[in-house]
Amino acid sequence: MRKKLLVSLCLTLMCSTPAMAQRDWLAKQMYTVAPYVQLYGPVQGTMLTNDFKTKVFRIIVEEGHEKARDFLQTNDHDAYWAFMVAALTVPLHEGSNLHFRKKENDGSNCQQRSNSGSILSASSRYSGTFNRIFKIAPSPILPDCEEFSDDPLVHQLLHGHDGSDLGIMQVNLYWHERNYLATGDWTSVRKSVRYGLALLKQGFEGVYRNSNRYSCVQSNGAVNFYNLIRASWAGMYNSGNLGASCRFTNSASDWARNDINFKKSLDTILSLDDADARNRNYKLLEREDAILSGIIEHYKNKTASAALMTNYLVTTQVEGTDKVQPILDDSGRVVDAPTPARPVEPAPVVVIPSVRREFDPIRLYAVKATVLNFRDGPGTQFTDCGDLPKNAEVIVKAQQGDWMVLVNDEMLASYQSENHTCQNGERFAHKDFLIDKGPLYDDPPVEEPAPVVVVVPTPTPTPAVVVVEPAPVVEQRNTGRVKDWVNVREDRPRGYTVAAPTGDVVGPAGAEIVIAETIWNSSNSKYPWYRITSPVHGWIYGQFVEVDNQE
Amino acid sequence: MNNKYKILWIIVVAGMFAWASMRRQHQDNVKRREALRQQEVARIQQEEATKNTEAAVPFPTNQQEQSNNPNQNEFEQDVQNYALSDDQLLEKWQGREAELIQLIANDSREIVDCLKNNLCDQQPDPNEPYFDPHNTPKHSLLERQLGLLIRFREQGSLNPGQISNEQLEEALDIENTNIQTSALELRVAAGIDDDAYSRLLGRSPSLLPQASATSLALLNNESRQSQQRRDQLIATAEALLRSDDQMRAIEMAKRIQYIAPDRSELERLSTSTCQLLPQNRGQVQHHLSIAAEGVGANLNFNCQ
Repeated sequence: MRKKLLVSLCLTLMCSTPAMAQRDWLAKQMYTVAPYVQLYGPVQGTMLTNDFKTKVFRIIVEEGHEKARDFLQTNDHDAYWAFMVAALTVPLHEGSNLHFRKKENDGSNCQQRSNSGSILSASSRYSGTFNRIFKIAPSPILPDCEEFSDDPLVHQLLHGHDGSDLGIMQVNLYWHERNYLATGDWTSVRKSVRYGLALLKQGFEGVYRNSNRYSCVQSNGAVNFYNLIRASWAGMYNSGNLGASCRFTNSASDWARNDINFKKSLDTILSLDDADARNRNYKLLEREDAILSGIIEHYKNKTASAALMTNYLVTTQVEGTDKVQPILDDSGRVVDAPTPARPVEPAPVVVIPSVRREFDPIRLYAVKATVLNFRDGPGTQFTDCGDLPKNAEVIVKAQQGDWMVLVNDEMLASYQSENHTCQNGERFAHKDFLIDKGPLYDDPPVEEPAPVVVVVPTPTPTPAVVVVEPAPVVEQRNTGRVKDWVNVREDRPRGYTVAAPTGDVVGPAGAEIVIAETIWNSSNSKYPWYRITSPVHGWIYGQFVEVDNQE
Repeated sequence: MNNKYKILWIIVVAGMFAWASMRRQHQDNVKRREALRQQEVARIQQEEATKNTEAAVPFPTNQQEQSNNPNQNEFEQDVQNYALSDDQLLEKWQGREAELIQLIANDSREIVDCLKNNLCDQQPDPNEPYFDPHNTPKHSLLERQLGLLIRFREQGSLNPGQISNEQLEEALDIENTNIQTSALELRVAAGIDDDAYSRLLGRSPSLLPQASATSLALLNNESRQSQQRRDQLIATAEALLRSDDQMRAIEMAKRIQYIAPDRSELERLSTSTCQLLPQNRGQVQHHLSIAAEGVGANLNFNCQ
């Protein structure tokens, strides 16, 4: 995606002598953002350093996990941990884990060379994008520095040494105008990380799935994950070209220096199972410090479990990782208290395989498949107990990963096949073939939320269970109706690019849908996107939906 | 520190600064010369392209009339201005959909042609490592235009036949997943006869991995019209699962639910998984197994 940033060098210089530390070398690599632009933090300088680093770390591992979790579906833990290491390495390498900062305005922090765009003059193709996105009158996102003369504080966005790359993931202006800049994703640390990791995943998976074509990742018939991480960055991320993934093996390459520097960053990350190294290079709060160390250890030890991450992500929260900053008061000044604005950045949806969530009250589901297996465990490796016919109704008491936990009542027992020998206990059916018909009772019998039970991934029918404190896991369930026939898409849009159609359509006008999630893909969008779970699974655009009620 | 060393140190630092600035100046000059050269090349190529266009216009359009049309200029600017979202653009041009569709049809045809010919003159910058020939700004523009056509279609403003089938099928030659997917969506929506069905299925294995799988999802309903069509579709799915590019197998398996295979079709597809690399076999078999849940089947992947 970009060249190596000089931030690390600057930071090193800043700390080398007390006199030098007085100077803000980083100011030359900062765009100063207008106070009326809403930014989604965390913002360096608004909190203690370790808090800031911890929040950024949390965002990186959440987004990294989201990208890597399909490896867990098939217990491919080696690939999972390798991608998590890659996800930690790239933002450190590209932007030293910095996206926004808040500084006192001493008159020198806003660099006119940056904010005017003249820094881009050497590469004229950037200036068009820069002006279209950042210089729109009458309220440019990056006003000239004189506009900040009365502001005591300024908010700044990291850019590369020539101004062409932005933020923590150093996303290039020219190549990513439509789906990163125009959508406003750059205003969010989380969305920036998400965007960059999507590109990294493309490179990672592109090489991994065809590892037989890339000699640099082959090692005695297996995959060399260390080199796979290097290939993911050298290929799609830095070159825009999968074919260049093994570039790092060529010391005579024009970009060999880039690859050597990335290797250094990767080695820095891989040294973080050592407490001293963490203390020097990646200092976090205590809990996250242990998680960081664990990620590296699991990668090195090839640990065949992701319980470390699932426990951490499900049972803990890091406040402020999806907050909006800075905020303006009525006079247009920056204040620190958050206020809601539309579109509100959605809380991160972290879907964790093998997590069990109890339903309270229990819910009614209908079978939408022609015939649906139900089993004595949450996976196709468990025994098939029988077949549920289409439209049969079942009572569901929990969800465990992708599997629904059915109440094993007389009705369900009547579908059990005599030929199959099932274990006693709970019954499970895959969520993709069940339609949520709503709660079985109107009111929950118990006010207190039920405890969340986190289950270690289940390779065998008798998993180890760890009970932890309750966590607020809320899934939206609205109903609505379509206004006409609507195409269903397989995913949320990426920037302004809509996802591929599934081939399903929902209709005609008036047909009921169940909405499980709502997202806005841009502040310029008129309607949100809805993830629906009935009558089919997928995403539809809000233009064609009328939302009925909220459960 | 000894004075001699101080002086030596100052000389070394000054020398480094001087060297760095000379090098920078030299690089600037090289860049400037390169930029001028590229401008000149672009100018010549543009002149050539204009001559060629004038010599053989593939579709009869009145160039003079178009360039004098203020709507076209403004609309083209709006389409290229990504700060204006699709919603905002459609709202701004509400009531003039037919005119816009025609403009997009013409523009997108030209972009497809130039991308196929010479990548619309887009070239790598020798000073930058990044150049994605399948995802250039011109690709982004075409992506947006096709996306707008899809929006028009969803709103009922785009009638079948307003964009020629040939034009949409030509867009499948562009190696960009979103462009191929959008072109397929529009093409299938325009209506499919037996020839087109076979032709599109025949192209599936040469599309990019995700688009090849999506093409089968889009043709799923069409495949239900006859057993022969259905067999063709399942055979294509098998071919994707066995493809040399194993990303195709992964993308196909992820979308297997969208072609809703029955028990026997799934059993047939499951035999295509044994040759996959170990890291892919598990993933593909996982998706097939989940699909099998919905037809009451239990697949036995016998890969011993």
